Formats: sequence, C-alpha cells, structure tokens
Amino acid sequence: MIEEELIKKCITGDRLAQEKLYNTYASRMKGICVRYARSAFEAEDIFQDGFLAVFTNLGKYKGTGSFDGWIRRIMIYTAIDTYKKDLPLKQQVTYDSAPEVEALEISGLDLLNEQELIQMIQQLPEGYRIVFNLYVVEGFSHKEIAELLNISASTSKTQLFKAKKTLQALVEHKS
Amino acid sequence: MKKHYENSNQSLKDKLYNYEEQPLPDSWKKISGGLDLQKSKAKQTTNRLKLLSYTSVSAVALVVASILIFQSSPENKITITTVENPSKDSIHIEENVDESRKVETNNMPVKPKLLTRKTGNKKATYSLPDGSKVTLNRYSDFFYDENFTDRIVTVHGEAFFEVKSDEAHPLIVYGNRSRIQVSATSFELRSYSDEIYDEVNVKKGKISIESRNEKSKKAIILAGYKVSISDTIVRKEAIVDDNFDAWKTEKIVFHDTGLKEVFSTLENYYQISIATNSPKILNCRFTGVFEKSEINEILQVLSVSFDLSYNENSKNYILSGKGCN
Repeated sequence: MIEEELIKKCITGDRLAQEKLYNTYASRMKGICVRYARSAFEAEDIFQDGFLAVFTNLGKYKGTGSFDGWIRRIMIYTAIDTYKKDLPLKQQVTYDSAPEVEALEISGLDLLNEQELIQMIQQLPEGYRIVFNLYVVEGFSHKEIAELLNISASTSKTQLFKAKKTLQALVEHKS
Repeated sequence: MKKHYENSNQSLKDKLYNYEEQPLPDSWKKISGGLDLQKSKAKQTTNRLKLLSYTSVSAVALVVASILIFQSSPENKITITTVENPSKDSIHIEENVDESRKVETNNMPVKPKLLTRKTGNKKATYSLPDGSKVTLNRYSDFFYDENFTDRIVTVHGEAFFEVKSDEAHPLIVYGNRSRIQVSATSFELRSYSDEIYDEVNVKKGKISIESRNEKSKKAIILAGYKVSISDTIVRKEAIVDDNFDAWKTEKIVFHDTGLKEVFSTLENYYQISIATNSPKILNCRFTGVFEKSEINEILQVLSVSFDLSYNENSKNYILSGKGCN
C-alpha cells in the first residue's frame, strides 16, 4: 500500500521519493509494457513514457481506488497511444455478424509458463494483441475497448476471436 | 473495471496480469532526465500559452505535453481526465491533427522515428546517412533517428566505426556509459549493459569522449590508445592488444607475442578453450598473421613452429609438447 506521504512528496518533485515510487512499481509496469509492445525497444519506450506520464499526472490521483490500478491504467493508455500513433487513420472494418467469441477457450495454456505465454502474445499481430490484453487480461468490455481504440465493439469482438484462434495455433505449434 | 471469468482462462489472466519483468538498469536515469526536461520546459511554456490555440504533437509526447500546455486553458479540447473509471475516461486524441504543426514554441521534442540495426549470430556492416560505416559484431545493435539531423547513434554491444563526418558536423555515438564525439576517425566501441565498463579503442584519428554519468569526466583519445569508462572512472591506456578489432577485420596479428596471449586471443576469437600440458609452452613467442583462417590451420602452424601436437574435444583444445625456455 503506497503511502499518501510518498505521493505528496513525488508531486512536489522530490526526486528521491519519485525514485522510491519507481522502484516499487517498476517491474510490474515493465511487465505490462512487454505485453503490449512489439519489441523490447518499444516496451522500453512505453515504459519510460508511461512513468513520465505517471509523475506528471500524479496530482490527479484522488486516493479513491487502488494506486496500483491507477498506475496500471496510465501505462495501458500510454501503450495504446503508441499503438494508435502507428495505425493508419481510418481502420474501421465492419463485420455483419461477429462470431460468438466469449465462449472460445484456448486449450493447453496451463502447460505454458509465463515467459512462453508472453512470447506468444508478442507474436500476435498488433490489433489482436491489444484487444486480447485489454479484454482477457485487463478486463475491459468490448464497449470500453471500442472507445479506447476508436473502433466498433463488433470489431473488438472479431479481433478477440482472431487473437484467440492465433494463440491456439501457436500453442498447438509449440507442442 | 468489469471482470471476465472465462473458466480455464482465469489462470491465464492471472499469470499475465501479475507478470513482472526486470527493468533495464538505466531506465530510471532516463525517466529522471525526462522529468528534469519537463521542469525546465514548463518555465518556458507559461509565457507562450496564450499563443497556442491548437497543438500538434505525436501521441507519445501528447501525454506529457498536454498537462503542461492545458493547465492554464481548461476550455481546450485535449484533456487527460482523472483516471478513475476507464469506461468514462480516456485520452482523446484529435484525429485530424496536422503533423506539420509541431509544438515548436514549446520546444517539446517530437518523438523521432528510429532506425534500428541488429545482428544475430553473424556480424554485419551498415552505412549511416553521412557515409560513415558501422560494423556490428554478433548479437549487437545500434539505432539512430531516421532524419539524422542530430547525427546521434546509440550502440548496445560491440561496433566498429569508420567515420566520414567532418569537423563541423561531428558524429555522436552513445554507449551505456559514454558519449563519444568524432569526425574522420576509426574506432571500436564495446558497451554491454551487463559489463562495468564501456571500452573504446581508437585505430585512426582521435575521439572526444565523456562519461554519461559524470559529464565532467572527459578525455581526448588518440589513435593507438584506448579508454575504459565506468560510472565513476575514465581510464586511458595505450592499446597493447593489436587484435582488439580482429572480429571485424578477420585478421589476427602476432608480433613476438607470448603464446599465453596468443591462446587468449584465439580463445576469444573462436570461442574455444585452450589448455597446455606443460607451462613451458607458454614461454614460446610467435610472430605471424592469420587472415580469415580456421582454428585448425592456426594450431597446425603453431604446432609446426614449436613442435607441438594437439587434441580437440568439442571446442576444448589441449596442446602438448616440450615448449620453450
């Protein structure tokens, strides 16, 4: 539980306090960046930009809701910004009917360790990876994802479906 | 946040949600530097806010820049709202932002497009926009801004530079711990984040180098000299190992060199281990040049020269013989 005192000091620009906060959350946040990025370079970029955003916006953290959740969201938004920056502007694809995706489960995942899981996720194409992370790991709804990524909810569903299918293929390929 | 429980995928979510990874050792320094930069730019911004009715920033600079710019103009469109509830709050980015209108008045750096060159298990040579050549050893990489207006190259691993730049437009090379400024030079940089020192060997010309950690620690190094830089030390010395760039030239030169050093060079170059059955072998001194040779060729030459024989067992060599006095 991060103390109010530490946050207050960080807001005033106390470098030692900021470093302490950084040390507390760094590996967790790097873990998030690695999931969203295409490469180690991009993960590092998102990581650094994300922390800069954290310290810049620290004054806006009201203390309601966990700090861990708050700092996670900043990292994720930073990752999404990086992703959006590289997207061609109009990338709306509409589907007449999005297949039933929520039910699709990927088998064989329990056999994988974290490193292998992360590697597989990194192998997914951009759009699939982001939607997969946001839906499956972060727990956003398709509606929320649609808003965040500026796509339609049904596109989000389809991306998730494709992400799962691709992951399934990767898991099977591994075994 | 709503939670989704997908039966057996719950453990997948947990594994990934809690995944942690060790950050790079110099990340905090960079973030800290970014915070310093913000502080000094913020002083400049307050005077110019009134001029800004719109800004165009790349998405990455946006998160940082927005707070500085819009603290005093709340009616502006781009906002970062309190991130309590993700469904309501999001970072809105103006879609029809004009990329050409950079935030020049703010001097906020726009994120450059980086070109990266990376090697696997083979070395490779690349050209820089100014005509300089960079040869990367195996498993190394370097990157630079596509525009190359600032002529900055950053290296991880081992690289040999043949620099064409002129005095008026020097090339800047960054290692983990060092900043090197050069023009018309040939030098080698070795910078691995898991080693204590950055090492630079100068082959031709001269370099100007400073410690990234302590800018006051700087030196000028001439051809035939090398420098080792750690976070606290800058150490100059003459180059004694003429084969420091053998990996690049594929040429190994020995000039009345004791076999102890000969073997050490061969071990590094060929990634093997060499042992002897008699310490007298190490007394022998050898003169010769090998260019693009196989290790066996070299060992045969040495064997003939010093009446030795050798055995090999998966990259472990044992040399036997009477040696020298």
